[in-house]
Amino acid sequence: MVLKRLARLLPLYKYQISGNSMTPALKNGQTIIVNRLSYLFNDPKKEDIIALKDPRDGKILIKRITKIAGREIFVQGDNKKASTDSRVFGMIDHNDIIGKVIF
Amino acid sequence: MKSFIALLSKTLPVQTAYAHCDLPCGVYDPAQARIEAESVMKIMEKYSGFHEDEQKWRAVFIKEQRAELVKHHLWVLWTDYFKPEHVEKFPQLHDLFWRATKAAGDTKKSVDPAVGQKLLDLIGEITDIFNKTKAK
Repeated sequence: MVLKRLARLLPLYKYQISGNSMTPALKNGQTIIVNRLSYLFNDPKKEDIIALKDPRDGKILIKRITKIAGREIFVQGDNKKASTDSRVFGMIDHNDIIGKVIF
Repeated sequence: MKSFIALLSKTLPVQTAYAHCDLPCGVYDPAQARIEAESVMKIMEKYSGFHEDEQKWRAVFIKEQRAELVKHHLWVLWTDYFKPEHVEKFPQLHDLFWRATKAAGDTKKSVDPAVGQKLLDLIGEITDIFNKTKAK
């Protein structure tokens, strides 16, 4: 429990993917590392794969940035036929980004 | 750097991140099942007042259609909206849906309003859970 709380302070988060909307880049069950500080000094870029909060219910999602308009970001799954993304919930705010998938 | 990240990958606690797909519209609501179940119930209540065979036949026919729609809407909720984390939180969910869809089937075989009410009560229980999953 203590280790888990300490881990939350680290800049890196580990996630396991649930779902197929990011195939073939990321597969269901795959483990990834997300850097929460990636966008501290750099802006998000098109094509970055990011962890974000679903603006509807706060659930953590993994998607790719496909458009950027100021602080508003459009995200999509690579597997467009099976992805719930900005086409459904609209553009997300920069603040909804948790970090960039780095590994 | 890669070995450092690999080490972190082993030691960091893992959380779940979703790369999932809802219905393209992303709209789910147990109200769809409830409205159809209310139609079933109304037909059951009115059935005893029908005297002509034509009326009775039509009432039964529509009741069967509506009951089938209830099953359809419940299945969509059960299989598309509710996720494993909901079942973890509400372990009665699978049994509840199983009983509700069985109850929808029972309304096809009966004109007793008590059978219709049982279906509405079960949909009410599903609605309560649905609303809890929507609460932030």
